[in-house]
Amino acid sequence: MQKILIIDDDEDIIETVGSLLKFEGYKVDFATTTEEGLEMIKDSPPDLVLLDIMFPDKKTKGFDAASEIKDFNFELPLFVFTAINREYAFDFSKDDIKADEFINKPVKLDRLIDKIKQYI
Amino acid sequence: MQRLSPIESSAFKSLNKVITWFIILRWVACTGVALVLLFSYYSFHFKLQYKILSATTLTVISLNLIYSYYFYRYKKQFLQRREIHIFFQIQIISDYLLLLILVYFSGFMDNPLIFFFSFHIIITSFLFTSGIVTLYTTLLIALIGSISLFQYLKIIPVFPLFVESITTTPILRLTQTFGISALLAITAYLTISIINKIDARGKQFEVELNKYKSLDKIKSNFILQVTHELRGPLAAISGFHEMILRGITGEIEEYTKSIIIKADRRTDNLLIIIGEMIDFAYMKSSDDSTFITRELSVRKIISENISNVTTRAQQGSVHLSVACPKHLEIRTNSDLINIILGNLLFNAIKYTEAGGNVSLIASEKGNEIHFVVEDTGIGICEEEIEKVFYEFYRSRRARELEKDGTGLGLAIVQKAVNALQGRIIVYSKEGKGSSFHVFLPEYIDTGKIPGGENAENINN
Repeated sequence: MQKILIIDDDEDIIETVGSLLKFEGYKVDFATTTEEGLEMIKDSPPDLVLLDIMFPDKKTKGFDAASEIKDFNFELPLFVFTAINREYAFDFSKDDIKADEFINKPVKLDRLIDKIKQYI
Repeated sequence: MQRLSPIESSAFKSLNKVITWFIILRWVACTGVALVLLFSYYSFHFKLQYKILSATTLTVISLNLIYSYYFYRYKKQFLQRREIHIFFQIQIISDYLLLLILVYFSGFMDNPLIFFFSFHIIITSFLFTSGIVTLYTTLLIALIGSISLFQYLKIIPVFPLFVESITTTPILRLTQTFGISALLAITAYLTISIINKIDARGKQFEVELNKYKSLDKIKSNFILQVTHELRGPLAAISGFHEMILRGITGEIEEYTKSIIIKADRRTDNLLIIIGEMIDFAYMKSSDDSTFITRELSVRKIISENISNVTTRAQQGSVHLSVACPKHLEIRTNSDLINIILGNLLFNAIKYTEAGGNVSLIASEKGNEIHFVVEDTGIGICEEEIEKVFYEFYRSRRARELEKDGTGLGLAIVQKAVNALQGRIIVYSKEGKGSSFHVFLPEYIDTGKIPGGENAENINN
């Protein structure tokens, strides 16, 4: 069974996205801080990571975490959640951030599954 | 190279204009003086120093030729403000001296041309600091005063204007000198004080404007933050709906399901409204920041935007079609182009009834990329077509069809199009459908995010 790691500070998001993914037959791990998430990637590597951008302690913490994850294992597929369609405040685009896909919140399961299937 | 603020650069432009104006004025003056000399030569009332006066006129002509040569040659290059100022000061000083020579050799106090100095003072005070104007005026008064004094003491000769010299008593000379000096001094004083008042007003206005702008910015930032905060919980609610609808929480009854679907639809609408408000507030809050541009594949932009609305189109049984040449590229800002196409597509689908068509077509037209978003929807009636780009405006039919909506979508599109230096045209017929034509330049290097205060309302 393929394992997906969700890193998000919002526990409700973890619950909804997590249970929807479990329902689709994936194994789901979760972390509520990026530090915890990085530990988990190192200890028990997942097949794919879903990462939130905004964390309570820093607005763009997810971006830093994305670089760290990709530095650790470039091959690991990394999807980034964006709370709004366009994260203007950071002027970001796929070239700047080391992520494979950008997923809009709220997450629509069908589209998420489609994207996941392209990677694992 | 120092960057000029808008106010400085406009002063800079006006200085350029004044220099051109002065060059023309000098030609007029030379022609005038030459004509007067010619006329007086054949009239016996005058007794002029033709040689000296002609020489002075020729000097003015040759100097003016040099000035215009330099001016037109260097106008094309970017001259520093300081250099232009020095160039102009040289001109002003030479004008003063030549006018003085001209007047001195043609009757001095008797020559009405002496009053022309007051014009000079007025113009100088519009362009230079009050210190420089005071200096010029003081020097001029001192020069005029000492010339009359030396003429009175017979140290330097008097060049009368007329054959029959008007008998001038020393006391009349003194009064004339005093009068002219007073005129020049008062002119300088008055113009300087008027200009200082205007400057003070301008500065005060600028302060007020900045205050207003920063307040507006605070407000927009507040909206941006609040809407951002609202988005998180709504995303979670939407996720819970999906859990229930997928049956993860267990079997649900049909009626419950239909209720949850309704709740989910309203949640989605709310998310869209919040998205629009974020776009709008963002555009208002960051008027000072510039956006970055990238080389983008038009095909890719289109397919991303289409995939964002596919589910919605399916839900509403609206047929989507796309056409775009393979290798079309555009250098622009991806956020803003997505705002434009996303909003137009979203509207087209929203206002098209089941069974209708929505199409997005892109093509190259000269140096522009031409996007057309066309639908067979409700359309916009003639009276309302102008207003659809207004903030918070929603057409009557739109309000009937869809209760939730901000009326910001097209206002945002308009702002984004303006920011990308493009234009938008809408054709529509009520009941038949609408087509939005967006023309965007193939290449823009960088630009400013549209600010609230200077965003024009171009309604085509």
